[in-house]
Amino acid sequence: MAAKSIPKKASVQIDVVVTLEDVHRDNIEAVARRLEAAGLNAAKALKSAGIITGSVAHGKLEGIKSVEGVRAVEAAGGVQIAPPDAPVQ
Amino acid sequence: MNNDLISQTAGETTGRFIVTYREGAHAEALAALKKHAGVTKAKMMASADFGPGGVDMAQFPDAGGVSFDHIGVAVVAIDPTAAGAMAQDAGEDSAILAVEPEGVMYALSELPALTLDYLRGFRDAADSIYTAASRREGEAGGAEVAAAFADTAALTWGLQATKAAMSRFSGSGIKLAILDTGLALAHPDFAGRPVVSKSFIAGVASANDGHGHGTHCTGTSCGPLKPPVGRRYGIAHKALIHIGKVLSDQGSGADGGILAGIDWAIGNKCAVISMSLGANAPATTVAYETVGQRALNAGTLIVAAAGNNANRSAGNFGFVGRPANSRSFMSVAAVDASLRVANFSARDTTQQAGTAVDIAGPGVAVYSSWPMPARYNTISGTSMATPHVAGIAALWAEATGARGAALWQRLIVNARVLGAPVVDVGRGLVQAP
Repeated sequence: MAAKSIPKKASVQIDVVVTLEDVHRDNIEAVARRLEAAGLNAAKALKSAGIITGSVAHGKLEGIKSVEGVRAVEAAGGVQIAPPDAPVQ
Repeated sequence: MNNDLISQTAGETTGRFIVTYREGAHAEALAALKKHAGVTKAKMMASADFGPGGVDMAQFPDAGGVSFDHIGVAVVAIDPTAAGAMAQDAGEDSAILAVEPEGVMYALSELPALTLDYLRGFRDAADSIYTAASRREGEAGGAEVAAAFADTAALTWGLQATKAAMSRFSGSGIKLAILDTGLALAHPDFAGRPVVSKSFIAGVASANDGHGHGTHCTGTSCGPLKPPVGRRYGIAHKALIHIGKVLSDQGSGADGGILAGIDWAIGNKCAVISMSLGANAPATTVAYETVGQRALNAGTLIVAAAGNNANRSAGNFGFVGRPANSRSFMSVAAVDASLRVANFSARDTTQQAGTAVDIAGPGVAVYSSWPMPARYNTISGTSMATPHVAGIAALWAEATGARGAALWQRLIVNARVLGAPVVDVGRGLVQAP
């Protein structure tokens, strides 16, 4: 049976959280378009928070970081709480 | 009683008195000063007369005073008997809130140069005394309070310990968001209560709670004043409930959905967001740190659980994880009914700026609502302490009109100081207005 080929690192998609510079918050839509042009997929603009979320191929990460208006790009993490029958939650 | 006003104050006094006006009652207060102490307008300097340069205190009249209009306070040279008479009438409902003797302050003298070695030795000695005392306390089960709080037929212990049960405030008019597993929308204790809800879980349309955690937290923060069955367990019983389902029924959530939930709550002008969730990761993020500050600036206080990753009886103090470890998130520790730190309650051990625990809430054996048919459940966690703080924040928001950083301040300065260290309980146990 042929092994499934390992994807090239550059093409692996990462979920990211993009924090906007304060001065660019009012233009969040414009920043979102620039991020999409630079490779951000499923861009979602959170206006009140000044954050844009989406996913990007690993190879395009550096390009995303240098888009005008971006203060930080961080990998999105997750949280997990205890199951319903746990005494400590 | 009149001359007792001076002897009651410790320390040096000048013989003059400081009079504090109720906000908006300057004219009435000045009228009262004239009536009781004979201080006419002619004898009162006003700071408004002096312009930006400020009052020239050298011009203080011998019998009269100066009114600091920007802060609603006057300093007056009056007879102690008159001062005493006004102090008796002073209070919340009168034009004059207080009459107090003018004290004297001095510059603090500088400490002699302390070497680092001396300070280290002092710290190590204090640490070893504390460790030994904690061990002894753990063995002997020494109580933080003389008698522990306990659930009664009418109230949970947490509502008693935080004085929430005695508060006349209800969170009326205050929007409170709970970002969690949702709410059991058909729960009888919430029948007829307006609830705004939204799911941030991909593929899940409803914010209905299939886990229980979110229902429990909503119950603690916003549960009814008179539950149809059993004891009262909820704090802000008239708050406008906003449910953001950012955790799946399996209890997991991604940062994208959590941030979308925060964004939604800020956009809806919620005064408080309760987040009983976190990652077991000590690193802070620019995103949460920035969003927390933006929320405060927009009038939204975010309250988050410090975390349950400690096992103190085994010597593991845990750490405060993301997002509670952001300095702009108010992070909440858990105490038990004896007001001791819970075994699982995370301590600030990474000691980076802002990762500290800010405040504590009741978090052991907390009774609250649960999806049907169970209807109620008693569980523990910093997740349970957090909605106590959130509900009480809603009471303070209603009582004072404070929002954002100002609301943070109200919670902190009114906390009940506990014997446990700041790294464990922050400023202390949250107290209701």
